[in-house]
Amino acid sequence: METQQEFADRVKPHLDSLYRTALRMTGEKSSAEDLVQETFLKAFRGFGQFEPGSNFKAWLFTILTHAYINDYRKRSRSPLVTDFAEVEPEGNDETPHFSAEDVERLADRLGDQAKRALDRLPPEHRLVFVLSTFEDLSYKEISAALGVPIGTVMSRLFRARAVLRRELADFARQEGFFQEKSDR
Amino acid sequence: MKCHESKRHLDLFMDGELSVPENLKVLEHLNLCRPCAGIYEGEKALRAALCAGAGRETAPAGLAERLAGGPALEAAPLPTIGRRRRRWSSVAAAAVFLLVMLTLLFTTPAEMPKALANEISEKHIQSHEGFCGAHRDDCLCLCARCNTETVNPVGKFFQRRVPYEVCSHELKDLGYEAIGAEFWSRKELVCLTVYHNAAGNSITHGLVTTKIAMEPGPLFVCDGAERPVVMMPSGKHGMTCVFVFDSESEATRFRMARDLK
Repeated sequence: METQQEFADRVKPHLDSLYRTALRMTGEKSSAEDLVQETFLKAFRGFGQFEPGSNFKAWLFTILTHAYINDYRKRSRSPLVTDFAEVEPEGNDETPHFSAEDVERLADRLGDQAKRALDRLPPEHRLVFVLSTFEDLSYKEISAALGVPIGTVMSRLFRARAVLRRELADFARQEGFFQEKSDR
Repeated sequence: MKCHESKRHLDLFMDGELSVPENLKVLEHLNLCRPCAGIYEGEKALRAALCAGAGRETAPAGLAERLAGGPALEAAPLPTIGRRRRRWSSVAAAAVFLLVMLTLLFTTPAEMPKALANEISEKHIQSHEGFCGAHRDDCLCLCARCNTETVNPVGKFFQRRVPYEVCSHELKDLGYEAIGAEFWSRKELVCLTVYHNAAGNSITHGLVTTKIAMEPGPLFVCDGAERPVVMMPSGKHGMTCVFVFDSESEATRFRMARDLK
């Protein structure tokens, strides 16, 4: 009972983070809830193996990502998306940069544009981006959670950010306010 | 460091993934180069906008209850609503107190006493709020009224309350005693430990993310003036220990005792 209570106490602060990540990955509220529930059950069963002193949040995210990759995607029969960052040569490295003023104007008109841009990313890239940027996991923790080398985490993250910047820059241009400043 | 190097390192810098020397080089460049500082500010704002636009959903209210009803957790229902309300009240109180504390830390007006730790300690003794284990789970007061531990109470507190490794420091060799500790679950600041000595000086220690520690501009302002700050690698990936002192002489004494330049 003590362990169960301790588990519940430890898990509750991370509920929103897990749900957010699950929602970004599955795209549906009900599927996200199912994925989080599955994560919690697996985490509870494996709680005895959790190493005290290590990062509990990262451990939960490892279980969530495994559940997503192994179970959810199999069940949903989603095709595996080729990780083009690892195979496609980078022909165009120009990355637009926003000024803080541009972002302020962008934020006012962004609406669901950020979510849509994020949802268009390949799942592997989206997952790395969400874990790093929204959940603040380190590259090492993401690498452990996904079972991929740190270099792969970095390349996926780089690609995800470049795509997002370009998409948001396109949107800003359509809105007519973005003063382009590219970086090579 | 050149501009193109700074730009190449910017994401790693913002992710807290650079080594301390690399971090310092980027930081130095950002402080000197206005165009690169502009790119950094834009990138920071863009991340914040993306988080606000796509990363702030909260779990549905019923999810915790659904999780509690799962087969593996059947025998371990989450606390009753009444208890949960008390816990959330406690969290709200913690948030309010922390806000007050951080306000003191960053913007204490000139008429306030300069010693943050003593200020907190005095307020606690007057009101019995703040650093008080009797009232809050995530906060430890070491005054005789609240504390029953005699050996390493701060270490035991963190071990019991925090789901991952944080740090506290033994500063008795400098004449400082811990007077309280707090666990803060926000990602930028993991824990806060406050010390004071017989002469009325204070040290406020926080374990913060390296990217916050390396943020350009003054980190800690008290009495409207920047406080002497000493940073140390924490040994925890991506985190840095920040010590805030009342005076430069105390900071120097600390550096010498720890062999820091």
